[in-house]
Amino acid sequence: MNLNMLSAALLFGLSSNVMAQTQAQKDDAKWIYERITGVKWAADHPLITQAATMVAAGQRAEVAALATQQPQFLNVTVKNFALEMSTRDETIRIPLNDFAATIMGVVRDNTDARELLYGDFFYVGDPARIPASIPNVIANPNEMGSRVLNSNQHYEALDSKNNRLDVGSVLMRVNGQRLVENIIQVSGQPDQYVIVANPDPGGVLTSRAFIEAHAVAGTNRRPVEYTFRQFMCLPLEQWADALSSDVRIGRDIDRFPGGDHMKFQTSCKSCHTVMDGFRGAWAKWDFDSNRALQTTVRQGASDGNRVLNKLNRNNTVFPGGYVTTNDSWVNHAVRGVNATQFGWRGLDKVTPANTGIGVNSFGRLVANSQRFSTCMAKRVFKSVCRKELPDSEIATYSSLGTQFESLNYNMRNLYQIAALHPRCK
Amino acid sequence: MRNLKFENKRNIKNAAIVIGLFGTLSFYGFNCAPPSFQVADDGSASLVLSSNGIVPVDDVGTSTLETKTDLPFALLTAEQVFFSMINLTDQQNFSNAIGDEYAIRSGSFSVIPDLKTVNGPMLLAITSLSGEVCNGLVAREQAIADVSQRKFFGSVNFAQAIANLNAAGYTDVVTKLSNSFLGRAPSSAELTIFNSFRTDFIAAIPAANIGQAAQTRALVLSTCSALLSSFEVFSY
Repeated sequence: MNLNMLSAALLFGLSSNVMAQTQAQKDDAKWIYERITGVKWAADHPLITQAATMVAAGQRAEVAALATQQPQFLNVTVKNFALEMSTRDETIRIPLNDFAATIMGVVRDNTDARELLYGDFFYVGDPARIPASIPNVIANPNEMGSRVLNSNQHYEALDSKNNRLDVGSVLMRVNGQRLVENIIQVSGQPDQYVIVANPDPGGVLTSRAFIEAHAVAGTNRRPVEYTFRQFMCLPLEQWADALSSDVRIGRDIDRFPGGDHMKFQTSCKSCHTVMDGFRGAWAKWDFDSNRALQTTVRQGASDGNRVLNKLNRNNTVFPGGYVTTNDSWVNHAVRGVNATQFGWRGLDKVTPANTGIGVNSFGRLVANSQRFSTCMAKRVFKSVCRKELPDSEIATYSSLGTQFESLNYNMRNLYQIAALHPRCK
Repeated sequence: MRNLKFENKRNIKNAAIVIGLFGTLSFYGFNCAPPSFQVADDGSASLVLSSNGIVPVDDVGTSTLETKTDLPFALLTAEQVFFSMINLTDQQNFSNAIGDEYAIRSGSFSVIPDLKTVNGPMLLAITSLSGEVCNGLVAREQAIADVSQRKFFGSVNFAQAIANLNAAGYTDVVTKLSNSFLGRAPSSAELTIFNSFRTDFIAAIPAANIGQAAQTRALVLSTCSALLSSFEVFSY
């Protein structure tokens, strides 16, 4: 082979390689955008062209950051992420609600995601940025009462496709959660809503959607179960502990089911030790008359201690069981595998604590645990990568969770690092 | 924005034939299984944060390009499909007809990303929605008098009979739509299918209607709808 032929061959090989690499980089840029925004992008879209150039320059992280600035990131990816966590059915086939809007807002505003479980705020459409056809719920308490606190109308209007709203951008943070104390009905006039501050704010745990899904009827064990399911990524059977203390198990749980105490000891007890320990946090929360009820604000069906009757109902099943007299809770998920799988760090990551009062402190305990960070990493990974890793790779979630904490619990950044993770491909 | 006429809807039904064939091509060679995880390390060791809190580029760089799989592994869910179509056709200010069509059809879309949930009603719903979205796209481009400014339909004269859209012009439309929607040029097999569709479409037009310019629009609309509702658009 003479020199000219060798040069030509090298040149051909080099140019082929450059062209292939360029296409790979363009595909990669498109891939990052589509994962983070949750929608397909035209290959010739200017943003994809720009992103491909950035990938070629070794700026994949910056591409991911840009992708999170697109409206679809909040309106599709984060919204679906949140909707799935908001109800008992765990489906995205529901309209926007206060739970999902608040998560979208926290992601948009880059605030500490732990506040989702104990923050005293919520999100609504900014009156200055939404169509006049959607009533102003900030200026008018009756609109706030009827469309946010007593129904989901406000969020459904924001979500209506034909309003063509960039919902993620029009949301406005409202500090101070609110509850309806009373509705005054005067013949011939609109209902007058008496709105007061929520005395036990728990972020999305005290959102109307979450309370409606889990505190309605029942015995208020479901809010505990679903808090752990959604924010710890643990179904009840994975943190049940038959050897833990049964001191908090209520009187409605039969200790001799079918006449067999062993069945209680080996089966029923395992879930109730841990679940009933936390149940007291919701002793004052109910869903009644289409809105959240906190007995300090509105007595509802509660006793003199403002403890809901449903927490102590069926009290003859086992009269020696625990009687709930306040909204205190105790963490009984601290032994065996629970001693390590949660990574408890108290209410503030500083002072160890396994007791508390109300939903707010319960939310703080959960949010400051190591498991919360790992769970958010797992959920975000699934949301952005559209798949889950096998159990053998749980360390990946732990690693992402640790980074999530080092990023001040910034969900937007968590999405970025999850999308760039080698396992996401 | 006007709604689809009956005739256009009929043509969209014809396009279902193309979609079926197109879908077959899309699935061909794929086993639809999720990609396996064969790399030994979990990659977490490389995720060291830079000073700005973002993963350094070098640590997640080219190796990920090499391991990328092209196998489909996940389905887009309801709103993902909707906003993908809106995004691909650049119609953020979409018509009420599109919003209404989504409202009617969204119940048939998947709510989980599992490929196994693909079913007939879902494909029909996606096709129907793509028809309405393409109707908006065609209307927008049709209104651009200077054909050189059109993105997809520069080779189409919407005021003339379908006979004026020759094979080369039609191939140009298919190629541009494919390049944009799918990120790749159509394969020769796909072009053959589309050209067969064009031939069949023209042959099926009653003689009395063959000279109508509306038939040109209907062919373009059907083609757009077929590509926008292809498997590659609603899967990862």
